Amino acid sequence: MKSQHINKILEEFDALENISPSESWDLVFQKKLHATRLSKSNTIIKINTLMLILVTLNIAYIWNTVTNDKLEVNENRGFNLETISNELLIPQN
Amino acid sequence: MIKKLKSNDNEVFNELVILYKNRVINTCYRFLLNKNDAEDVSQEVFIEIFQSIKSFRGDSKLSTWIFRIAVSKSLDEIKKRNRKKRISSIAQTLHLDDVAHWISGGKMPDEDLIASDNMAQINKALNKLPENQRIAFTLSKIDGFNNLEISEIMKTTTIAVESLIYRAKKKITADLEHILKK
Repeated sequence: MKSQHINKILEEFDALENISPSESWDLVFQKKLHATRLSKSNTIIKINTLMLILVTLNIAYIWNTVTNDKLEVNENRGFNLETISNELLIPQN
Repeated sequence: MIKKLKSNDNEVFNELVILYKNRVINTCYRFLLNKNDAEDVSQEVFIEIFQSIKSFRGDSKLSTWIFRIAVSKSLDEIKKRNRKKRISSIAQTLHLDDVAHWISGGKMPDEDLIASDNMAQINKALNKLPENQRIAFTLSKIDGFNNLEISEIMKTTTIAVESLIYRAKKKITADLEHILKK
């Protein structure tokens, strides 16, 4: 009796009929696909913006470093020449 | 077709959806035993295909790759269901009925999803199977899947598939006996 019942259950599972997609399947899928495409392009825009900001910051930092270094080199050069001339006792006037 | 898919050709992608829609839905349905869930998961399968077609290396047939995604998504859904069920039953044990109701989305998973008692019982038995046995057994019940195709989807041999199906049948019968005893 029990094995008959088990066989019946297994047969019912075997005979499970195929289903057809509902009418709204395509519509719902197109909506989901559209949302995915949108989020994909949004992600690309976000990454590009972030890259642009990073590049700008980097250029600004390099520019700032280069201009400050130039001033420092010029100041140091003047100071060094003054020291040398003092040591050689060359009158400055 | 694969080249065109990789270059984001919408028309070819739509053709692919039309070509595989029914088989993917029915594969998901065999695992989930619920039409609404099968439809949802099958849509996720095609979204995944759209997103990761560029990473498809062509090591296997396109259809094998598609059904591998369908199986994996269906199993993920089953795990999600089982997790919900566990949390919900813990909440019920703690007499947090509102929490249990909320977690299960207003109803216990599977309870009214599986219409017949027999389907509910076999679903219980299937839930107890090891994952690879469940995949082999379920796919073997779907029209159009032979052991060779199943072995390609599971990345194993046909002999291993035969053995998995045999062991799955044995375990399901034993589990059903146990369930019916209760």
